[in-house]
Amino acid sequence: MSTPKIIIISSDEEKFTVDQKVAEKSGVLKNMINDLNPDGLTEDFVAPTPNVRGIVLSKVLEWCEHHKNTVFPDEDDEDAKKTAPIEEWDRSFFKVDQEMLYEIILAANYLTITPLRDCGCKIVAEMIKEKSPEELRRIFNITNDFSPEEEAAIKRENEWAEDR
Amino acid sequence: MSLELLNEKLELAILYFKTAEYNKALKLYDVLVKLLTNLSISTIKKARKEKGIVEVPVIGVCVHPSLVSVLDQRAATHEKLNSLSKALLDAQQITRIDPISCKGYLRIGKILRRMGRDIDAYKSYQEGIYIIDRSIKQHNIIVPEKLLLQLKSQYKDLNQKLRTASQRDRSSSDENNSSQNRASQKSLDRKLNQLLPLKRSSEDSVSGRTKRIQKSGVDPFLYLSQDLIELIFSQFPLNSLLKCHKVCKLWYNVLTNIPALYNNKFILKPKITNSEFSSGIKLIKKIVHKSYSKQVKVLRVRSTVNSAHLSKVIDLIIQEPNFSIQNLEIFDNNLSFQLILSRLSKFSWKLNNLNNLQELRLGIVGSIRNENLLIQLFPKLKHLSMIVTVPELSGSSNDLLPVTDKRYQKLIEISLVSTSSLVFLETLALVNHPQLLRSNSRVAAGNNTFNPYPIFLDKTFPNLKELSIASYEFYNTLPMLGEFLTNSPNLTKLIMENNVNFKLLDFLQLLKNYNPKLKLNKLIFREEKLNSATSLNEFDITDLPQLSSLEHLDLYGSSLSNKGLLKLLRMCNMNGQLNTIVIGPAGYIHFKTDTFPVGSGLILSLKQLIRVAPNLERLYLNELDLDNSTLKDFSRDLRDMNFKKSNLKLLDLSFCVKVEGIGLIDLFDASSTNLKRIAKGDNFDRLSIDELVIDGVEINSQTLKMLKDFKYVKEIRNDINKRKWKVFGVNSLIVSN
Repeated sequence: MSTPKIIIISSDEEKFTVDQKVAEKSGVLKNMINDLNPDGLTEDFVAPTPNVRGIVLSKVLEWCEHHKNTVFPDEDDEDAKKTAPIEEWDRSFFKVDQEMLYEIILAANYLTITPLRDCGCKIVAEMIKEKSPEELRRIFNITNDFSPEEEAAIKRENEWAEDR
Repeated sequence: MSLELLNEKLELAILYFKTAEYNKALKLYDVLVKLLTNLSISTIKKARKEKGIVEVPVIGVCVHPSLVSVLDQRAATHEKLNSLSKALLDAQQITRIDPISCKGYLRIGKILRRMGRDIDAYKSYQEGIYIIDRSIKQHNIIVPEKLLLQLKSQYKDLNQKLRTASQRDRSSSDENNSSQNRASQKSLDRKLNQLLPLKRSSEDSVSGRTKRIQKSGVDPFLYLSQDLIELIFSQFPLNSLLKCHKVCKLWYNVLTNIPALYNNKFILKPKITNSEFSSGIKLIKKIVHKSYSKQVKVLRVRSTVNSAHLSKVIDLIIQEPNFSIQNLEIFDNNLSFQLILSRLSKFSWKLNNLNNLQELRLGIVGSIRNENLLIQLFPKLKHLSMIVTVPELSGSSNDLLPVTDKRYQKLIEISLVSTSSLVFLETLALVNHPQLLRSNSRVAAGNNTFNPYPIFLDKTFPNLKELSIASYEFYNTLPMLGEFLTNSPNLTKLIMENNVNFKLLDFLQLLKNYNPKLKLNKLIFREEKLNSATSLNEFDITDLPQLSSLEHLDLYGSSLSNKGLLKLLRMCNMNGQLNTIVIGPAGYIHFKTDTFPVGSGLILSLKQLIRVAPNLERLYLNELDLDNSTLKDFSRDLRDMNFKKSNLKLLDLSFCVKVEGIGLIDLFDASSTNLKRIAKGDNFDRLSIDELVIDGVEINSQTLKMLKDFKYVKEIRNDINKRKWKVFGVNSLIVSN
């Protein structure tokens, strides 16, 4: 018999068949597989992911496949996680439109694929950091909904910290 | 229902459709859809088998083989009847059941275009092509080639059409200069750009990434949950965070709702005014009150604009409602302990926000008086630092004492007789200004304000772990310190720097005589001036158990001789834990140099150091007379010891100004022969450390790069603009003017 596979079904009923190793990049799936099969898999395992669209799931699994042998820094080591630079491959993996980027982060969060989630968050952080409020509004297509008075109040509220 | 009956009904429906009897056709299709969707799974599997297709599809939902075409036909019927939204529902159901159905996407696109929703149609084509192409790649699925080609050509045509339309609109809007028009045009452009990958990819190669992001702007706050937003902003410095408050209301509200982002640490800008602080408090309170503790963990005032503002800032700190503070730091050129007392007197000695103060760090003017009052006022303190940043020689801050306040007089009386102490105190730092050590200062300041002696040594702090005293006068105070150390059994870190009438030898003798039951792991003892050389002949190696577990020993500027140093190192390394040694400019310690050749009998070698402290990991040799020949000597010593006996990780040679690049090359033995061997992959024993620090010395950057490239050193720091090695607050407690 061939090695059992994991069949992941997206919210739009798209099916993805992957190796157990790839699926277990996701903490949730790993727990699900192991809890229901304490003695190991004997047949294909079907796992629905009702929160993830197929188009997103396929990206997420692409990442899991690429990183199936990567050893990530310890979960609890907050500092190592925060300071780790973004790998070149991950950077180009995330060259997608913003909606897709957010959906990948959401999916990674939901599936507890922590390194993917953290990496996505770092990408978003880089997009925001060192930008002026005007630039941020332009980048994210946001309308300034503050009245001039409110704007002035926030400016005053910030003065204690901002170096002149 | 049998297959024949089904086929019969189907054929009839098609016939009705062809003869434009759409209502009749629709009725039949409704029956058929209902029938087909209510079949049991076994019937469906059987029907699929009979049709010769796999029982369970690789992609999509397992349905009756005819359902997709029935749905497609019903959609077409709806279209004919002009019920486009119903048609669309059917078409969408097709792609839900069978995500690789070209028919489904073509149908959706056609209906959407009829509805005038070209952009959505475009999106649907795009999605279909993406999913189908990928499925073909991943699962070797075969789809009707003709239909796929049709789908792709529809996609391309529509792309072309949308592009021309967008250009046309743009040119027409150029003529029309109304700003509103332009704004809506912009958003349409953005929407289109977001949807036009064909155009986008051609542009990408020229304009890069940022431009693309601009085109498809979507607010992440609309998508991501609060915990993810927290993760994104978790590394943001305060100023960037505050800037993001200005973007829009949503950002402001979400961010100020996550107190963890602000770390509960509020560091005010220098030269703050009272009104700036006052509006800042509003924001700080807003954030802190979302936190669990509802207390300000750290508030740091770096300086105020003048003394009037300082008083008002202190008033706010004391009595602003709901602003309880755990850790307060105020540094100001107008701050004195007397001023704080006068402000407290104003609020009838109610501590308010300072009631739960755990840490107090004050950068003050002039000597500290009434220090016992401090114990009365803040009995819960865990950490206390009093740093004299400005030598006040006039004594004017005494004018601020609330001498007419009866409560104050009473507190003073109590504090004079009270024996209470700070039972929770763990760290105490007393740093005086060096100018207040000079005897002529006494005359200028008068006896009421001038106190060069360290305070608090008559107290007992049973939980004290760390004591730092800098720039004080110890004349006649040593017995008091001896008692103090005897009463501090938990003390593990002791830092003494620049104190007058307190030599290293005095300290060691004090330890021997009082024999306190403490075990230090860190000792910094920097003498104020060079005294006569000492070799510690009067000590036995087992005399100082207090130092036997030392990990960090700093003897910057000591009067030890070579012999004395080695003996002290042996005493400190009795338990083999010594891993950090700092030797600054020391009058009687000499390594081999060009001007101090071997053979004079007074030379200290690296070999000797490592032999007495084999676990040495960090060695600081700063402001020493070392030169290139010293480093060559070091290299030989290390080679002799086969490198393996050395645990050296960090070497700091900052401000050894005679050292040059060639010296470093010699130190690591990075000769061209060796570099060639390394390049060839020859793996031989050689010196390799984690960090080399050589600030204040000009070294060729090529040399440093080479050392890094060939993995002699992982990190190199070489800041040639640094002016001196000792920096207050970094590696020294000496306050400079």
